[in-house]
Amino acid sequence: MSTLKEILSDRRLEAWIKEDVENTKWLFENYEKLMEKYPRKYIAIRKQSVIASDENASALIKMLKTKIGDTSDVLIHFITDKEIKFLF
Amino acid sequence: MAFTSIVAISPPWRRSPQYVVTCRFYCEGFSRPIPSLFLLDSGADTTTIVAERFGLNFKKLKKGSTALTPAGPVETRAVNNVILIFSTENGKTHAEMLDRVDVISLPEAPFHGILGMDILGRFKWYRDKYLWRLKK
Repeated sequence: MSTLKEILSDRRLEAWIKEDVENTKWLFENYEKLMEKYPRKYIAIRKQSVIASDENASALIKMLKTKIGDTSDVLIHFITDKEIKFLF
Repeated sequence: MAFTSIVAISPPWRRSPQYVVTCRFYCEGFSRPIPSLFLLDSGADTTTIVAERFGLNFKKLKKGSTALTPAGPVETRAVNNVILIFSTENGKTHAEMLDRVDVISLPEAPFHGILGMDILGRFKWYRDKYLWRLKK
């Protein structure tokens, strides 16, 4: 198991998180188009584009590991087919 | 450099604001921190993650607690030694730790988890229409 010190001293972390933020912005800006193209599917986003999709999250993660190996910079997100109301 | 703030954003296409923060989630058993989106929820006592979003087998996790949800009581599972790593406005990283986080099964959840008051309570909040800033 990695320690906090090991995790936080990973030089790639800052770049990864910056990329995550860019991917999130891209996701929200393009969400309506993604709802039309990938309704009720999990998508994998890397460098502000969709690199894979699947109806099952575990299957998508497995596919990515086989296809690209290192998934450190991949954001996985579920695309709804309509705006969902939350009751939290 | 001094800590500035963590920014949660509201998806612009939503009719009512709903604030989501990007972070990296790590817990015991993970080989690395995972890119995640957490919904800010000041009504939730604790931070909770969705098993399916992290590829976790809900049934194989250790037992958590009984949580009251709008749909009734739910038995959660749990993961330990959690680290949440955020990006701050000045481009640095900021980590928050939790001994334990509840896990729920919620297939098709459009987020990885909920950031509850166990984390939100550590910050001061500033909110406007599209942004929610968390400051120390």
